[in-house]
This record gives sequence, C-alpha cells and structure tokens, in this order.
Amino acid sequence: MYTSDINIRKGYDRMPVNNSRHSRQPQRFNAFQSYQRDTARQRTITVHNRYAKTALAYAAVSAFCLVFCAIYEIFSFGEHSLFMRMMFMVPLLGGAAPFGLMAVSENPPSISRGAFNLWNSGLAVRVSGCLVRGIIEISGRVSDYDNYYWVISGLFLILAFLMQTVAWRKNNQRKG
Amino acid sequence: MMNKITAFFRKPFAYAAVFGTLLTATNGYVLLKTFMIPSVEGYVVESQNNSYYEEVASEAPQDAETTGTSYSDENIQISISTVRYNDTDIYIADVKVSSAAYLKTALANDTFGRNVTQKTSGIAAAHNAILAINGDYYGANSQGYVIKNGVIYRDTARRSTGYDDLVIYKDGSFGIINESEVTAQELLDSGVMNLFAFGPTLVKNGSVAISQNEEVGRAMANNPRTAIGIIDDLHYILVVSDGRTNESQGLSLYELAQVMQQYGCKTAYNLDGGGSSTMYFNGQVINNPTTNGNRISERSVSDIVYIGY
Repeated sequence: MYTSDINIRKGYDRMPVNNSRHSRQPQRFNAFQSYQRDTARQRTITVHNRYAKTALAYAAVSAFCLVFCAIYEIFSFGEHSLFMRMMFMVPLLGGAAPFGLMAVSENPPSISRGAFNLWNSGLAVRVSGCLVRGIIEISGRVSDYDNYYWVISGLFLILAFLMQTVAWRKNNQRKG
Repeated sequence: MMNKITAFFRKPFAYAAVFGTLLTATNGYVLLKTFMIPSVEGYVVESQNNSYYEEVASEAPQDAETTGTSYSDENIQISISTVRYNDTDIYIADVKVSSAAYLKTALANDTFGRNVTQKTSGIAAAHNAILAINGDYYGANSQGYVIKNGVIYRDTARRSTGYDDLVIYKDGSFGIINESEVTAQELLDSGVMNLFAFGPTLVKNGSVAISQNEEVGRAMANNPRTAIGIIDDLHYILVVSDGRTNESQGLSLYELAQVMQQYGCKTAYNLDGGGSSTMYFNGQVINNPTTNGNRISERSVSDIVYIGY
C-alpha cells in the first residue's frame, strides 16, 4: 500500500452523514463500525490488486529477460554468459516473488512510495549490471565496470529497506 | 524548489521515466566505453633490451626467395599450406628463424590503449612484416599483463578467467604462466619478451591440454580461430582457421588443439579468434576474416604477432 492510501484507510473522505436514520447514537456508532470494516476490506482488496499487478509486471520482466538472453545467444556464435542467463532471477526473486507473496497474504504490509521506487531502482540497476556483464563476457572482454552496478544496486536496496523501516516505525508511533 | 521537485516525482511514472532514462544512458556509455571509445594510455617505446634486436639483421636480404606460399632467406623460412579439416579451411604457416628476435609483436598505430585498433594488414604493412597474425587483442580488456617486445605496458593481473598466459622468452622458447602467481616485472626479469593473455593453452608438453567436453561456450562452438605453437627451437607454426561462412564452419578449441598437436607442437596457445582471425603474408590477407557475422571483412585489432625484420 502506498502513502496515498492512508486517507482511504482512515475513511475520512466518505464518512456517513448524520440523517434521520442515524439520529440515535448507538445506530450511528454501529454504522461507523460497519463503514470502518468496509473501508478496511476495500483497502485490503486495493492493496492486494496493486501488489498482484506489480508481481505480474515483474514476472513479465523476468520472462522478457529469458527471451532476450535466448535471442542474444542465437547470435553470439556459441558464446554465453552466466550473468546474462541468470539475469531473469533478479526480477523474479526480487520482484515477482515478494510482491506475489504480499498479494496473497491476509494482512499485506504497507510500502511507502519512496521505498517502492528505491527497491525498483535497485533491481533495475542489478539487471543492467547482469546485462552489461553478459554482453562484455560474450564478446570475450574483461571489464571492471559491472562492479559499479553491484555497489549502486546494493545501495538502492539498502536505502529502500531503511526508508521502509522508518516509515513503519512512524506508522507504529502514530498508532501508539 | 524542493516542493516542486517533490511534486514532480509524485506524478505517476515521473520517477520511473527519469530513472529509466538515466540508467539507459549509463548503460549506453559503459558499452561505448568498453567497445568503441579509444582510450590512449601510452605510445610504443623501445625495449631496454635494445641489443636483443640490434644483434640481428634489420633489413631483409635482397636474395630472399618469395612465392605465393613461401618465403626464404638466410634468417627466415616460411612455408604456408592450406588444409581442410572439419569442413573448415585452415591456414598453417610453418616458420623457422635463426633468432627469436625475428618473432615480434606490434601495437595498432604504435599506441597502447583500450580500443585503439587497426587492421592486422595495416599494422603488418607499417612494420614491413613478412607474415603476421592477429594477437591477443589486449585492448579489449582493462586488466591483464601486456608485455610486448620486452616492454611492460600494463602490469595489473587480469581477473581470473581460468586461463593461463603464453610467454615467449629471449631464446624463443615458450612458457605458460598464471598472472596470479608472478608479477609482470618478474616475468620481464626472467627474460620474457612477449606475453599473450588470451587462451586457453591448447597443447602442453606435446599433449592436448583442453577437454573435449569442456563446458565453456567459446571452447565448444565452431568459430574462426588463431593459434601459435612451438614445434622445436626457433621452429614455430602460426595457424588461422576460417569459420562462420558457408565454406567453413570453423573449429572448436578442442579441434584446434588436435590440429596443433598433429603438427608436432610442444606448446600451443589460442589467440583472439572470431572476426579477429587474420593471416597476412607478403602484403596480402590470405584467409577469409569475418566481421559482424558472415560478412567477409577484416576486423581491426589491438595488436599482431609477426615475422619480419
């Protein structure tokens, strides 16, 4: 779930109106509880859908990596690179698998937009590193450039983790 | 200002678009830097072992006998034959010299650096080579020892590829070394004049040194190949095979090793192959180099091995 979903969760935007049917206090209280349950369910469905879409997108990227590698090897005169062959694992393990699990979990965790972007960036840099290393290896060359990719992608992933941890703590403090 | 930037990145896909563009540009630059952009790091200098080259004749004698497939004078004898093996044309140059100083290397444009390239025939012609083949394409890599004609141009050991290097000593003998076990300066001090960092070693102590089922892509595939081997003291063979064409499918490394062994090599080493594989003799390219797939065209390379004065 992204930060923008907080309003939906709180339900401020569609509070029940105080008309004649809700004039008595117990009735109004029950209606609000019911509304809270509905919005929570709606929010969970929204988050599930969003995570499912993200998992599907990552699965598609993973499949693309596999196809790309297969086509590249057709034209590489029998050469291959383990980095290019394993490139599909990055979006699969780093994207499709965790987001797929969150999409089917009962209480999916909220993820801030910033952490989500950083995580995606880390995976994108790692895939690029595999691609660049693969192309260089298949050409028979040796280069150090791929080291930068591993370091930068690692930084992105760590930052994403830290940002999300801070967001969760803030959220817990607000609830507490 | 910060609010504007924050607001911009909150737009759907704004961050992804900016980041994607930056990442694509970075990848493009890295690949261009690796494959295309020349980076000059130095120029050819004379070896401290000047006497090594000064002791031998500096010009070809006038009475040299030359045919389309042979060259002979009092110091150098070259005989070139073409054989057909595994649906592939293989060009074999049998070379005998009176001194190892006639077996030399040369850099493209007499310049040391990454992606500094010139066609094998161009480098060979600039150095009056009688016979030349492409070398180890040192300029494709940012690591690995580079020792040419007794000069160290690069002394950083290459990332482990599992392959050893070939060294040629002052007396013309061949040796196989691993860069992780010896420094470039130690090699030079031990009398190494030229070093080739490609590989793998094809023949060692007269036996094929690679496995038929070696699970290395480049070993299994049929490709144009270049190799150098030593048969006896000051007796070498330089081999180039065609490949990637309808006429020649190319050789696997194992097949190339078999060829080198059959010709009596005690030590043989694989040099840069594929589109780089070129053999030049008496002013002409005699094989069919393939650049960019099946097109018959000579590729530019970083360095050559040549026989000449």
